[in-house]
Amino acid sequence: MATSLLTRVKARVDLSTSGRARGLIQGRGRSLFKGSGEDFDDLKYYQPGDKISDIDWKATARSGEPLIRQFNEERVRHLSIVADTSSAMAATAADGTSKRDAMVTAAGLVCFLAQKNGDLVGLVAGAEARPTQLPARSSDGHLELVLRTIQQTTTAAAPAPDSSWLIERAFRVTSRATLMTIITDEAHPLLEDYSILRRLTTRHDVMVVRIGDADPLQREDEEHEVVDVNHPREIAELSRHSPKVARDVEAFRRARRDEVSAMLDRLHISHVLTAGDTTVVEDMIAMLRAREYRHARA
Amino acid sequence: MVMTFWWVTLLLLLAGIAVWAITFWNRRAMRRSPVLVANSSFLEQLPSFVRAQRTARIVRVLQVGLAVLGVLGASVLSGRVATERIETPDFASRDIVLCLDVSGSMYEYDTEILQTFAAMVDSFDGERVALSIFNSTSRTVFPLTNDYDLIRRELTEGAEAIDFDETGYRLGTRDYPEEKVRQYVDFVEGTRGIDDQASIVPDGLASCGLLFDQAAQDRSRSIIFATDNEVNGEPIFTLQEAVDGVAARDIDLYTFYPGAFECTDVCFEELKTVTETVDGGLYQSSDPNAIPSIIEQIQRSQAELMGAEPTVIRNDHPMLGFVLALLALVAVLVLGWRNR
Repeated sequence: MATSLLTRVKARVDLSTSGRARGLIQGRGRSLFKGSGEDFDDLKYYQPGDKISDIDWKATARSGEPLIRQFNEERVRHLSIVADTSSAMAATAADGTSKRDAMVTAAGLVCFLAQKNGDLVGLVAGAEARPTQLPARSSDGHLELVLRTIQQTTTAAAPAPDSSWLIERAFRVTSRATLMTIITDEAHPLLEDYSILRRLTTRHDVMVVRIGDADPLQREDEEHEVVDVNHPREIAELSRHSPKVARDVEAFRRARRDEVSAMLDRLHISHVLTAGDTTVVEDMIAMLRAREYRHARA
Repeated sequence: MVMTFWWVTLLLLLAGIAVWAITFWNRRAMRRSPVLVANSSFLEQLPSFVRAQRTARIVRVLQVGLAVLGVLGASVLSGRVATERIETPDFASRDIVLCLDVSGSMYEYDTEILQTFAAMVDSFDGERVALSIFNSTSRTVFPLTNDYDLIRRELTEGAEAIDFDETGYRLGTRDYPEEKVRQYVDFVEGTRGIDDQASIVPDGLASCGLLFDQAAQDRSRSIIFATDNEVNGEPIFTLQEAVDGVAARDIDLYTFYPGAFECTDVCFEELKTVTETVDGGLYQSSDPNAIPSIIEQIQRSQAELMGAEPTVIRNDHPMLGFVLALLALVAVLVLGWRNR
């Protein structure tokens, strides 16, 4: 391949952030490191999981909110990309691009930000039958490998999505406190994953990037058939053009999206639902910004 | 029920099957590059979707069924389904001239001939009949016509009038009422134009041959010629000349000879020889009651001569195939349009 995936993502991120990407990623990767550096940098709102010993009690008393001291540290942070590389991610995204491309871009953004900070990035992906895992490293070659692995593992022939297994797996293989970015689609994580996700958030910072699915009816595209990667069956023209079916499909999908979003909100997990490769960078940066000031309003 | 072009039907059906087979084997290749989507398993939980899919399936089955029906209908239609019926075409384009010698010796036979024809008129459909009688001269009783009322009336009256034993009446052995005599005289009026002569057979036949009109039309022409060939006088033609004249005009000659009256075998021999020179039919019987069967024979030989052999008549029945193909086509179009 002529250009590396990382380079391509960089070009796009630079355009959308005009170099203000630094500091976008904050998370437990930093606050949990032992001996947390010497230079006092800033006070930061307490997040569940932060060390109670880090709480600046005086400042807390002044403000009425629990605050912790933050130190500038030279130590690296641990980032992890939990990528849903199931067949569902090889399908078409809501904006017509490939969900895989959107996922690679999302992962690339994480890698890019990590590269700027010199953070370590690991990968958890695959399926039960074929788990894929890469250790946390920071070299450019490793970041490229992470993106390549995501890109190549995600095929239409890959196993069906199993978000419960993936999250469980991420929980089991990650020993250190990590900032996890789960990249999946609009239907995942499932509502049944609530307890395992909550368990994950007790040890790690979690972000969820969800990539929207294409309309299974494809009403505008009469030229092509529609095939579900995991459930190949013919969807008749009649069904595709029925306004009633379209209304029902839209209602169901909206309800499903909203349910998952509501669950993630309940878990205080930063999440974003993006239409596809064209919007993923902007949407993720907006999410990261919002995350940065998450507690400012409180 | 037969199919005239059964092989066209076969070809069309084979073509239909071939088209189906090709599309069946290539159905994957023909699938336009599909849009891959994910997480659409919920569709089966939507009642409206399930209903739409079921409707679509029914519509498709209907379309396939109708297409099959259409192909079948078109195939059957192009195969030309027909019923066959063996039929002998009526040889209606016939012109028959009854050419009767009304000399005293012939009256019984003439009566029979006229009666037989009068009875046959009912079965005629297009045939034309003329009656000409001669003795020393010739009289046309009625010319060639298909006015069957007239023919029947004339023949019946003629048969009645000619049933008159003139010799016996003259000799006084037979007696007839006044009315009957007048009828006879009226009927044979004009046939004795030359005194002291009788039965000028060749001239009578020659004038019969002149009764045929519409020479340009392709009609069958025949003369039923009844005579004993006992000429008493000076004919203008010889019998051979008369017969040749008749043959030259493409007229079939059927000669009836009732038997000798005064003449010896010479008369019969001449008649026979002359008739045979033009391939005419010669029938001989001294029994007047044999006339109907002789006429029937004449009819039969004439039918053979005209090639009126039994032929196969084919009746096409395109209605079923046509309606089937048309309805199927319309239905497929309507369904296809509705399905858009």
